[in-house]
Amino acid sequence: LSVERLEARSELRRLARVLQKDESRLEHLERLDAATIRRLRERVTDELFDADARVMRRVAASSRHLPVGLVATLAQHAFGPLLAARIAALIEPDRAADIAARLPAGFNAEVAAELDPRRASELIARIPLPMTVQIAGDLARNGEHVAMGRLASALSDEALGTVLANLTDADILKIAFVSDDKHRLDDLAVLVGEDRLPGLTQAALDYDLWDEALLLLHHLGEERRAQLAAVAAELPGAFDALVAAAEREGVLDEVLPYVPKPSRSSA
Amino acid sequence: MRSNGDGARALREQLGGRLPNGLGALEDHELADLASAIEVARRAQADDLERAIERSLRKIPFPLRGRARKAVFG
Repeated sequence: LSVERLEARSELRRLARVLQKDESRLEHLERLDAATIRRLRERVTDELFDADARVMRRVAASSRHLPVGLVATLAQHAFGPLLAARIAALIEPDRAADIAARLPAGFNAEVAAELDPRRASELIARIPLPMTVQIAGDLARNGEHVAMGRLASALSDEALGTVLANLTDADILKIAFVSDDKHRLDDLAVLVGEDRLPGLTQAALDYDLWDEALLLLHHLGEERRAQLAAVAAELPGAFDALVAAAEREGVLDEVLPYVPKPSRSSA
Repeated sequence: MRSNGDGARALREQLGGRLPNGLGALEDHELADLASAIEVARRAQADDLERAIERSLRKIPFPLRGRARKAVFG
């Protein structure tokens, strides 16, 4: 079994987001293994997020003397999302959450997309669930699935279940693909619920999200894999598309055990 | 990969002096492209942040602006 190329593609999508580059411009890096791309991404993240650190620390320190309401106003009307995100990562998480509570979800979503991934979880865990759901919806609409993958890892199962219930099936596939903790995907599938499996499969078919579906399948436990494959077998065209994608990616062995046997009546 | 090629040198410079393991599959020109992508991202980020700080300083009353600028930029 080899899902190495899919894992590498997942890492490339995350590296592309850090570099603010179109993923297709980095395709040649697919020759690298996923672990190398991850190391590269982590190094680039360190370099970009630690650049200007001295000035950022001073800006953050200056903001400490201002009332929360004023910082919120400044954040929205002067700092903008990037600077606000840098400051948010450098002040106490409780204070950052107080400031976020005074800002519209749309702006918070823009900030969330720019948060230092190494520090984002502390802040995200403090945001009340209704706002988290709104932020997640805005991030999805903005195509920020990589940021959502980070956000997801900071949420409890309960919070994540609520967030996912409010997202589309295509969004869920895209988030799972770049999830920080793929070992959690089987639990995520339980959170999503069996009744959404047809929708997830249909989304893979409608939007050509087979990379995402195959990597998800790989990280699911035996029971969930069988469920997903059974659902695909029921949807016209889905199982053939799944098998074709698996063959193209060299992961046919992941799917073959679930190929439906011909029924006795048609034999 | 030639670890002493121009591309490798440029990437090393962008990554704080050393390359992560495992980049051996890349040609030197690909390392150069990567170094360039990091530099572009770094510049874009620095420009965005500088503009945001200037915009924020303009919100501060003029008599205090000089002191605020000094507090931020030293």
